Amino acid sequence: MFLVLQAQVGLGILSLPHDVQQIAKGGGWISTLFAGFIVQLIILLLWALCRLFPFDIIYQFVPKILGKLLGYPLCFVYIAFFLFTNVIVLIRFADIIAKWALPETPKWVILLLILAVSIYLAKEKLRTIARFYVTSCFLIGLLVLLTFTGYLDVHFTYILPIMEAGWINILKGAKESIVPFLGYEIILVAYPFVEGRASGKLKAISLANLLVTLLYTFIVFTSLIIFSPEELPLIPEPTLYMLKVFSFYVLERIDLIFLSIWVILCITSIVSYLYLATVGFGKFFHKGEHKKAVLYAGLICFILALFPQDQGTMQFWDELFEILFYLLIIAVPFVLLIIAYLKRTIQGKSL
Amino acid sequence: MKKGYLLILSFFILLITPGCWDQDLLKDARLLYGVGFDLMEEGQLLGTFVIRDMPAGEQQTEAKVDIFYTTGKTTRDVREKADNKMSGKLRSFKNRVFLVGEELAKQDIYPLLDVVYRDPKSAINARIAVTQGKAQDVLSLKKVGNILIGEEIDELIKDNEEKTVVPKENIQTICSIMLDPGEDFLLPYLTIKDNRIDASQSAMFHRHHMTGILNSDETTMFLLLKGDLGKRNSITKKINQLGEESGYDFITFDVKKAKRKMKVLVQPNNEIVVKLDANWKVEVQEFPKDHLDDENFSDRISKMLSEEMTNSAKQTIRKMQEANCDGLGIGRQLIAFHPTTWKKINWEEEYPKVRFEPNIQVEIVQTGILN
Repeated sequence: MFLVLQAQVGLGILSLPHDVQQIAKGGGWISTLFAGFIVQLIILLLWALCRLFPFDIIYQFVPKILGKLLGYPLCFVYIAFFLFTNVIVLIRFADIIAKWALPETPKWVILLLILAVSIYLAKEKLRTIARFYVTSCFLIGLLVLLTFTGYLDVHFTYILPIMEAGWINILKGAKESIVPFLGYEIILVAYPFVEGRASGKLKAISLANLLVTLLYTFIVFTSLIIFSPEELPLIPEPTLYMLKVFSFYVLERIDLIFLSIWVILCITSIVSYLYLATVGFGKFFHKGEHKKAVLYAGLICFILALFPQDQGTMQFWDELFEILFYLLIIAVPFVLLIIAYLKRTIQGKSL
Repeated sequence: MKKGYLLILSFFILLITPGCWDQDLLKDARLLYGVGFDLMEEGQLLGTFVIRDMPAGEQQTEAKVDIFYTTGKTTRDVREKADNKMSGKLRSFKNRVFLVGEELAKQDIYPLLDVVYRDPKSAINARIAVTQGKAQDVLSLKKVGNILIGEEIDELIKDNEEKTVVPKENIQTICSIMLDPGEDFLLPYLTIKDNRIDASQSAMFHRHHMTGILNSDETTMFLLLKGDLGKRNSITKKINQLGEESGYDFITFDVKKAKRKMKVLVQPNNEIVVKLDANWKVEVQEFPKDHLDDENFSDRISKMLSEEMTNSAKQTIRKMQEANCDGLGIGRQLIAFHPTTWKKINWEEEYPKVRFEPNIQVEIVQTGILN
């Protein structure tokens, strides 16, 4: 459960309110709730798929379903997708750090530092990674606590009228906010390693998703009542921006404290993707030892993350990512599930 | 052996990893404590910078201020030029006050503040105020009494915020309001009298520019109507109806609790009516005539005060309507609760026509330690 929770909480926490508000206006927080619901459906789908193969990870059951000829290439597509996700997260991450905290530091240094830490963790066993996630989980609570300082100056009328944008736009906003929820794909790999019954696992994942949904909704809601509707479109990271305003007797720039906590949560996301991808590499090239792949997988990410320097390329990558996401996380698993079921029933009959 | 290598390696990593690019040493920085901007001829900006220096090495010495001026085209341009003119690096993250000259405030203050919103290192919670005449003149006082100008203005405004004399705003809080079409803000308005700064009035803004001034009684009234009660506040009123000799016909009271209800109604003929019902629980602070223990008399005073206050509320609101300053956020209420009406009307023209119906009930609950 913590595994999914930590993998999900990451980048989106900073920019989600901005993205959602642009489309759904004051109803943005409803969009987030919707998104959580849709994500729950996706989780059900992935869970149903994993349940059919309780002892296999994705790279094992995909060839089983499709046969080797189709299955292996698809596995590589998945590996590439996880690496790509990682790259996107890294770029965004370095961007925000550079903007808010270290404007003079070259980007490659930030990337290198963050990857070094991630690689260090990602080469461990899943159990170790999970333990780290559990211990760092209280940080999420700390973030929420920090966000509460924002409530010193709020205007509830900013979210009214809730239906300003209409239902269609609220749903569109939900579509926008599904992507930041990413992270639950980790069950594709982690599923067989978790002890417990299938229903128990579903419960744990759902609980994690519920928590993330609530957290995101809370953050979106807070941003919506702090910034006026005309102001929010100007601010790409509202969660940080609102903290910059407040200063206590000793502490100033709470946003920097928030940022340093957020870095850890972001690293957990990066580690998750790195792990997902390298398990794939390990499966195919290193006889199941993902450890050996971590280093060069990290290197690939590092080089790719250095590529896009301008907004245009970044936007293209983002769009590409979104398409891949719908394809690989929703469409393909759905098809796989149907094929797997069909195969089962046919085999069942032939036996 | 392997461990030894690791140890050496980690030391080496430690040596090269600390952030050297982004270090910003306090000893190199010249800290900005206050800044003022004025409009010059030909659209040039005049910036006044108050730098505070702590003479290094000597202990127990007083801090000194250095004040100088530069002109330029934009806020950042002025700042860069100022930085060129002095040793050390000009750093604004400790800035406390941001003053805007009246002439400039009447134009547009958003372009001035843009850089503050954009730069992550800027002091976004600095206080902002408008000055009568030039901001340069106020900052050039250097010291007021024994207190350096930056601190003086900052503390003065802070005090007055607590006393409900001036509105409580900073650079960030006005940003939300400035960009919101349904609400306007007020800022403290500073004047100089005999080398002292007076911060009891406030400047009304409409959208991005200043449109008028409220005097100190009106500002307090506005703040009370808005429900922004400071820790203390006191209102002195003359009660003419008593027909007493001079000195006995004044009352000073402190509003302890202000409950208010604002209802924005849209009439069938599209007229907008704002009903403002306020209930103030007040403590009498000064009233030489006394006899407040007499219930009838006390009731009479309450009634008189209620009437007086309602009248002055009406006047204040009228003045704000004339300046087209929607400080109470009526437009916001319309957007939130009557969105269809909001889309139909042109708020710029409609706001001065809004009919306000304030009704203030004053209730005397405390009379100090006298009866």
